[in-house]
Amino acid sequence: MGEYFLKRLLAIIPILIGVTLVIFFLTALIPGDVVDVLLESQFQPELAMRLRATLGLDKPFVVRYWNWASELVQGDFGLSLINGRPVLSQILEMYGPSLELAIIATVVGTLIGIPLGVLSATQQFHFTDDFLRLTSVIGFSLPSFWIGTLFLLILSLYFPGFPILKFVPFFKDPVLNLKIMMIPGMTLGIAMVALIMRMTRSCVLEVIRAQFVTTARSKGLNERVVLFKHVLRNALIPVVTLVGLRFGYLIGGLVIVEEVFGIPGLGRLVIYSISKRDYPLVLGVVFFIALSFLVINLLVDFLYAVIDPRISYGKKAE
Amino acid sequence: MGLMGRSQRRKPDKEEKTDRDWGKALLLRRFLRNKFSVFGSLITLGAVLTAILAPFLAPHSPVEIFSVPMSPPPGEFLLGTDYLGRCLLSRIIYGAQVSMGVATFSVTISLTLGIILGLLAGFYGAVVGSVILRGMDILLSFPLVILALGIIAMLGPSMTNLTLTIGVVYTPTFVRLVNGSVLSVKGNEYVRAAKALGSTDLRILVLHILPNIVAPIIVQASLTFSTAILVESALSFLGMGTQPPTPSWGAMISESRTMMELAPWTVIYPGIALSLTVIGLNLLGDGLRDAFDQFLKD
Repeated sequence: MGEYFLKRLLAIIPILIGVTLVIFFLTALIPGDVVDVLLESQFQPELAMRLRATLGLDKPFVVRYWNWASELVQGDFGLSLINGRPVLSQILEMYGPSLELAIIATVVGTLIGIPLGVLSATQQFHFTDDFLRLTSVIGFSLPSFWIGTLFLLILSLYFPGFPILKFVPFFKDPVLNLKIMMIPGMTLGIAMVALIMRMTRSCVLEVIRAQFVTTARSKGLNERVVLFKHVLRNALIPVVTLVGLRFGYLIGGLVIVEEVFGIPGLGRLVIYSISKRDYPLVLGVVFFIALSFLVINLLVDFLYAVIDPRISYGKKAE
Repeated sequence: MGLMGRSQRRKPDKEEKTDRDWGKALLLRRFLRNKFSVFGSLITLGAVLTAILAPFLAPHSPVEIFSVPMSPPPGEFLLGTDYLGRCLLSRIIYGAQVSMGVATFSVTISLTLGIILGLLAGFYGAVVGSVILRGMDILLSFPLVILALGIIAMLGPSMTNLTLTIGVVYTPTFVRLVNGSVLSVKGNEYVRAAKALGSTDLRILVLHILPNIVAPIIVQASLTFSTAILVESALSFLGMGTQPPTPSWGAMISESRTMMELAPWTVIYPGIALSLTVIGLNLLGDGLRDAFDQFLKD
């Protein structure tokens, strides 16, 4: 098993090289560059040429890629072209709020989604199950930017004093911060609740028909014991994977929720850096996001093997 | 039972055909028995008809500006007017055209690319297969929205580019699905028989393999259709998609945000239209999947 994960870890390297090439290629093809943004109204062709030369933007694509990648390997993400600050420190600064949002959404999703999913499965063929299934489809069909906007509308109409849209870092004032982050976190959490509920339901239904459950029942065990000790312990394993994988997908949702609620996180940094054509920043943020996405997926696989002793990677069909 | 009895009464020389008819009827029955999927189909049908019949249904032009901005519903304008004084109902109706149009074309793109690449990867394995699949792995290691934002920034925001982008972004899902299905049917006897009879690769792929893997592709396409609508509206909301004054539901919500305390209906109604359409499509997709799943199990 150790060998399998080492292999997986090594397989990340060619993917990461591909990822950097794709990002670099995309950013190189974005029309207009940072010089246009910096000079704006005082645009002069000569000045622009000189500025491009200083920033190294006049060199060919391959050279620029090589320079950037070789620095990246040494942990140097470069400097922002707009404000001259190190890219990595900007990313780490914005990482906190995004992580916090993702955690709130995941916690909300798990705490509400799993019990509802179990309830839905145990009530199969009853009205409760139908109702919960419909609720879940509605839950992941609702666009988060609309739900977020509706929350803002309700708050501004009925709770004018509620602190929102004025971000406060967690370590400055934890209580106020949580109050501000709660609504955005929930906006992101609705789809999580719906997806986790659905997954839990189908996993429980699969296990509930297994023979060992019938055996447990025929032994005369209390239905509650059967459910909690026999069914849930087996059914919740795939749910862990889903929760983990969704954690990665949340990054996409973050772009939208951060934009709606004005939270300074990674998602907004992506949009900001693209709109300013701040290449080192775009490259850095997107690389960072892709890397965390890959690492999370690997961790989830690992966790999956740890909690389920039946799974042994690398030894297929002995 | 009734259905089976009927199929047995048919002429024996048409046995294969009646078997297939029986299968289709069963599939349809499974699908119709599920009240959610019927509900979903009705909503979807409604949305499609709205999109097609928009010019006949809309009371006004979607871009005509009347001198009554933010007139509340219901009045002269059934759903009121937006912050510029355009008829909200007409904009929502024409918005269906944008949503459905972008989703249809982008799903067609990912479906076509996905089927071609997936068939090649699955059928030719080895070098071709791993090159294609590694390429897809790279695309899949970006969160979807981030990749879409990157491509849109490169191409420039417009409805056509948004369609292309969504098409490209969803291609890897189809490639993987088709590749997996091809691998599972490739070793079957009918494929080997066709090969032994000297059929060309193209003939085997199109006539023997594709028809046998079509079920999961249909299900995935219907579910992707609804996500494509969501992504279209989300990117238009971020200003990266459909440009004003074209009425896209996402862009309408975004534009109306600054005035929403004064005219809440301008953000509420487009959102309802959008959510309802996506809910309908997801119910439809779920219903299709359940029907196919049971069908394949039997």
